[in-house]
Amino acid sequence: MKLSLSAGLVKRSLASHSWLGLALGALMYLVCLSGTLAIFAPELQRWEQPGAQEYQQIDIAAVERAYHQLTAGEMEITHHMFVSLPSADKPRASISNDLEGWYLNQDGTRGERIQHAWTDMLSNLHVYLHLPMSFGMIVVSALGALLCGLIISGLLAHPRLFKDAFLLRMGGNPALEQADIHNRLSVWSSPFQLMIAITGAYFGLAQLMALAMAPVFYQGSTEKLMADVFGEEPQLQQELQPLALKTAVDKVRALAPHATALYVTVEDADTADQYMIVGAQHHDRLIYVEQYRFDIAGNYLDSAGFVDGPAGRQIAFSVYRVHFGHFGGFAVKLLYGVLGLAMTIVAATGVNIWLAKRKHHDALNVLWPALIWGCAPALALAACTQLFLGISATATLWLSIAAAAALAHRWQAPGIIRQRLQWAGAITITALVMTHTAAFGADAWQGAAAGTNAVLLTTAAVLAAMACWRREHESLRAVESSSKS
Amino acid sequence: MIDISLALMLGSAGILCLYSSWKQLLPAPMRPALVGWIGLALAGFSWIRATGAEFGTAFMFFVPPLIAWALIMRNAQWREPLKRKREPRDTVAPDAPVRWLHHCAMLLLTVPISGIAAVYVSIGLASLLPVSALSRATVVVVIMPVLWGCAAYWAGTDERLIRPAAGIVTSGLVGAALAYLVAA
Repeated sequence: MKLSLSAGLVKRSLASHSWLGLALGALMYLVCLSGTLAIFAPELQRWEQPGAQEYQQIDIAAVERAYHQLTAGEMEITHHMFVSLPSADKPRASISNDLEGWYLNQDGTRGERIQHAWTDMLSNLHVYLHLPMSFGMIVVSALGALLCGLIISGLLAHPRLFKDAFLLRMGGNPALEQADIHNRLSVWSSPFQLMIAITGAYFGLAQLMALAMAPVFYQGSTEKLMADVFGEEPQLQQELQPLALKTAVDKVRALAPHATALYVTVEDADTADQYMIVGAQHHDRLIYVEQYRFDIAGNYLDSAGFVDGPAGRQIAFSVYRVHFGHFGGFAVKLLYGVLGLAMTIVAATGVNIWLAKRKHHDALNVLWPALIWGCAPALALAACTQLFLGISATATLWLSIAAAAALAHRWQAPGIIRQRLQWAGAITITALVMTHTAAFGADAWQGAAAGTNAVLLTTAAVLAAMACWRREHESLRAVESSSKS
Repeated sequence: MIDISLALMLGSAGILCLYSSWKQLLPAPMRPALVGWIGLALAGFSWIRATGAEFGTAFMFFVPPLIAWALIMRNAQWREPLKRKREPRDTVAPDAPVRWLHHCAMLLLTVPISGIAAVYVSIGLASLLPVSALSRATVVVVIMPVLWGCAAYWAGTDERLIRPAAGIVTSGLVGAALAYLVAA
């Protein structure tokens, strides 16, 4: 099969693809890398606190008692209150307000304070790029939209799309090697990338689009638009009384016996119009949950209609699970992990191709490998300092990346930068696992923590192997250049 | 379970057919590219039968890359590193100010201008659809990023920015006019 694209169109598409790719490359790499890791956020949170009790079932009466005890004592009642119930993904119950939270033991007694600052840092890097929240979210969502442009221009810039679909030439010419990796990974996963781009754009731009859509579709009322998408808020006037959490969850179990109650939130808590939402996951659907609403005494009000309401509402509430691969079990997460890693490599190799084709050498030649290979040791170092010293993971991450850039500037040769940062990644990740084991003992090698530590050690081994391979490669080059001179 | 196995087998067979066709392993009349696409479509049908329309559609598109990549890795050509001269160290003069102005204008065109235009073109197109307001809003949310991407692509294809700039701004204005006319 041959695509008949004119040479002019291919040339113009390639120019557009290059400009967009170079303008967005670094941000795209950070968003893709952090997004790939964020797929496993529930497992990473469990790894950060491996000592918290894990269980698949908990007596809801015990959770209700714990809620009343906590809110009567040290936990302040804020505008929203959250009760998270155990699930396959996260077999722990917790109670939190807008500021803090605690895990619960299976008997309902208070467990550890929730502290997964490193995973939060990772999620925030993906969602906001650590910029001020609203602005960062818009920037990341705009990256999603521009990724659509990269996909379109990339496909149109590739006249041998089908002929080369199975071609991979490793070694040899570095530009050709990088181009083959870039093209093979991106072409085959383009449907996945397009889905990630559209759903990613939704998160930050939906609110802005609502401002433009409301005057046209909803007579200027964004409240009407929001109510149409997410369901109207119940209007209640109730006397303050203890939350009948058990009654509400029991009713959901009767209403939707095949669904799993994942959480209860209290909206407008401690006010006369407060109400409860029980979020229950329907396992054969992409919607995150159906929301069942109750007054504070546990009387059923209505459901939001995400499971059987208008198609638009169902789509809006399916975006999260489709974007992060949180459906269909752990196998789907692994599939998303592989496809996400492919996207990350595509972002890195895109700029590599451009650098390999250039005839000159400037600061970009050293800064780019510093960012690409500096992220692994920076993330590992950020985890070490956050988990064991209580130092901000965000600060450590950016300082480490800056240090990698400074060292790269000193080392100059891209091959040496790559190799040394690969070693740094292997060493810091191994040190992280050793420190984690020393701090948490047997808990570090049970459940999700064991899986995470095993993956970390494998990653360290892969980085070390790459560094060794590169060393051979580089020494070969050194011999060649010295024999020439 | 049978449907999932069938989906995996059909998907693998489909990719193998495409592989043998595109790598020209067989004489031209016997190249099974069409059979490959049919195999992939049937694999998609089996995914939907096995896991429902929503999950099945996702698997239909997300699983074939893994099969293709396995084939690519199996057939990768490993070559000796190219003999290269010492890495070049000469520094270059930064782009001229005019070039930087061009990059800034491109950024302005591809990000805020294309974004705003894409929003209004999407709203204009959606307002023509004979569906509920919620469905129109959903259509806008889905097509807007794609239109934005198309506009950004267009901006990058022309060395003279004025042409794509005029086209993108005009499209946005037409979209907005259409939307507000329909709303009125």
